[in-house]
Parts: sequence; C-alpha cells; structure tokens
Amino acid sequence: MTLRTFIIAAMVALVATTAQAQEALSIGGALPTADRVMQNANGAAASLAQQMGPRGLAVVFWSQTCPWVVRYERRVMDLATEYGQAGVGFALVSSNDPVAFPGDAFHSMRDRAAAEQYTVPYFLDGGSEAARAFGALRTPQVFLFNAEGRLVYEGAVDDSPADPAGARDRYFRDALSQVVAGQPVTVQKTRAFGCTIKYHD
Amino acid sequence: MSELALAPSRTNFILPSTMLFRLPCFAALVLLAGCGSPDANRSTGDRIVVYSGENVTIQAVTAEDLAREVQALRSDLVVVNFWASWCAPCREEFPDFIQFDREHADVAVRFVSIDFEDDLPHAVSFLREQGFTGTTYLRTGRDAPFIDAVSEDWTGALPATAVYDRNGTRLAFWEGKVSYDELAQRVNAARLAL
Repeated sequence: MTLRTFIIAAMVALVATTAQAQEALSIGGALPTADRVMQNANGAAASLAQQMGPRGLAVVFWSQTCPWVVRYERRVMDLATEYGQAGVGFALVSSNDPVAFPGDAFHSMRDRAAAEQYTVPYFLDGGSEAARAFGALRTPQVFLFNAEGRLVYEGAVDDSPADPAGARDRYFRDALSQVVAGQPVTVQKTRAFGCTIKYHD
Repeated sequence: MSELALAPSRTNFILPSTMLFRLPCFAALVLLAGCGSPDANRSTGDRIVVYSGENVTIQAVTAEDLAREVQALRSDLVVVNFWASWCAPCREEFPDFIQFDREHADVAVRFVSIDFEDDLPHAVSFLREQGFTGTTYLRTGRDAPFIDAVSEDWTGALPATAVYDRNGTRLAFWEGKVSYDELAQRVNAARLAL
C-alpha cells in the first residue's frame, strides 16, 4: 500500500464514520419499544404493543409540519380505516425535537388530530427513543409488522407524493393486503424522499 | 464509485402528467410561447425552465438530465447538494455551500431542490435570501428512480450531497448536514482520489 492510497483509505474511513450511518430495522425484526407507554395526542397514553391488531400493526413516523406528511395524510387515514377493519392496527409516531420544530409540539399535535379527524393513535415519541430504536430517518416512513410482530415492510406509502391518482406502485397498500391475506410481502423495502427526523439531543 | 446512467440526448421533453396538471402556465406556454409574467415557465431547447426571475433560473431535471448538466460543466469537481426549502438542516448548511463554491475555482457547486412544484415560491424566496444567482434545479419525476440513480446509499433523507469528477463519475456521497470544514475535508478526499 503506497502512502497515497493509505491516506485516501484513511480519509474514506473518516468520511464513512462521520456520515449518518443509521440503518432501519431489518425485515423480520421484532417490534422495537413495544411496551413503552407514550403520550397520545388522539386518546389515552398507550404502548405500540397495545395497538397490535389480529393481523398486524402499521407504525408510521409522522411530522405534521412536513410537506410530504401533509400530502399523505388523507391516504394514510383511508388505509387505516380500510385495513383497520381487516385487523391491522395503526399508530402514528412523532419523533421530532419540538425545540427545533415547535409545530410538532404536543398541543399542536392535538390540534391537528382534531382538525383533520385522525382516527388512529398519534404518539409523541419523547427523546426520539422509538425513532432511534426503529432506525427511522424520515417522515412519512412506514414500518409494517405482521401478526407475529415481525417487520414485513419498511419504506414509502406509494411512489407519487404529490398526486394520489398518479401512483403506479402503492407499496404500503400492497403490503397491507398481503399481510391481511397471510401472504409473504413481495416488496419489503422502498426508498422515497421525506423530511429528515430531527432527533432530540 | 458509480456513474450516473446517461440516456441518449433528446430533442424534446415530455413532462409527467402530474407536472402538467400542476403547472398549467407551463402547459399553456408550450402552445402559446408566452405567459405574461416574469415568473413564467418556459422551455429552452431540451431544457425545462420552471422559473426565471431576476438572476435566478430554475430548471426541472430528472437524474439523467442532472448527469448531463454535471458533465456539461467541465469542472474538475462538481458538488451537487440536494435540499428543500422546508428542510431546516438543508437551510442551515446552504450558505456554506455557496461560500465554498465562491472560494474554489476547480469546484462547481450545484443545488437540486426536492421541493414540490407548488412550493417553488418558497424555494425562490430562500435562494434570494441567500444571495444565490444563476441556474439551479428542481427534481422532476418519480422518487425511487431518481434516488437510485444518484446513489444506492441514499435513503431519501435530506440534505444529501454528491461529489462528481468531470466525467460524471461519483466520487463521494453522504446524507445529512455538514459544516464548511467537513465539506472541505470531503471534497479534498475526493480530489485525492482523482
């Protein structure tokens, strides 16, 4: 190894360690922070485990100040209604540091849940503990667990944030249908743009 | 090190239907070649200009368009910063990227906004606040192919930054905010790899 290649390798290693290296929970992983009780802006304080339905649980990291979330709000509520009846529990989790994002403070979450007629629990993830445990990076980011509490899908709602009618791939809906039918989920991970979650320090 | 896939050059550009729907002014322009506003959307050759005002031009790009733009710069190094007007860390690091661009003759810094088309006015206000002048970009098209073309390491989180050589070969990519010093360090590392 020449000195030059050594220096390059050292600098690449430095860059790799300083970059955000957070990985989302792996497919097959168990529901993190399952029994931790969180404040709920749309009902009584509860845990994620308590939201588990007979067919599974969808946890969606959320930030009402995020333009992506705003565009997906109705779509996610509609899926929660449809698949809630089919036995999948839903939970929204807000993990942003409210100091950095005052619009994500608990009282604002309550206002939003009421104004937009949320039909699912809307949890405040104090200290961003859930986000860290899930490896959630952005909003909206979906984590769908099957009836055994194992992760079967992680990623985007669909491939068309701005225009619901323009979606070609409805990843979340497809995964929900397969979970409800007891089938393996075919597309398990997707990537999409979204708002970066600002963790509590 | 991966290279952005390059599609063959083309003579016209078809906007996705969502964009036509959201940019009626642009749709009208294709037909009428005039919209009567300084903020009018207009097409110049095979480039789609979605905003043109005082010293600021915003061009809509797919990942393939962006790859062509990077190569057309003929700069030793090109830093591409992906940002959005609502993204706090993006706004925080933006001035450092502008300063870095001004202070390095062999590096060209370009910005790609991931804003929705109807949020374009927010992006324009921010660019003006920052004293930005010149051409900048707005990502168009579907998320997944764009993210995949830029980097297999990109989760979609913003901000994100890529460094290319003059042939469009990617030398570095990272997600998250960096300081001026961190940016300089990473660009130097990329320069050593040339």
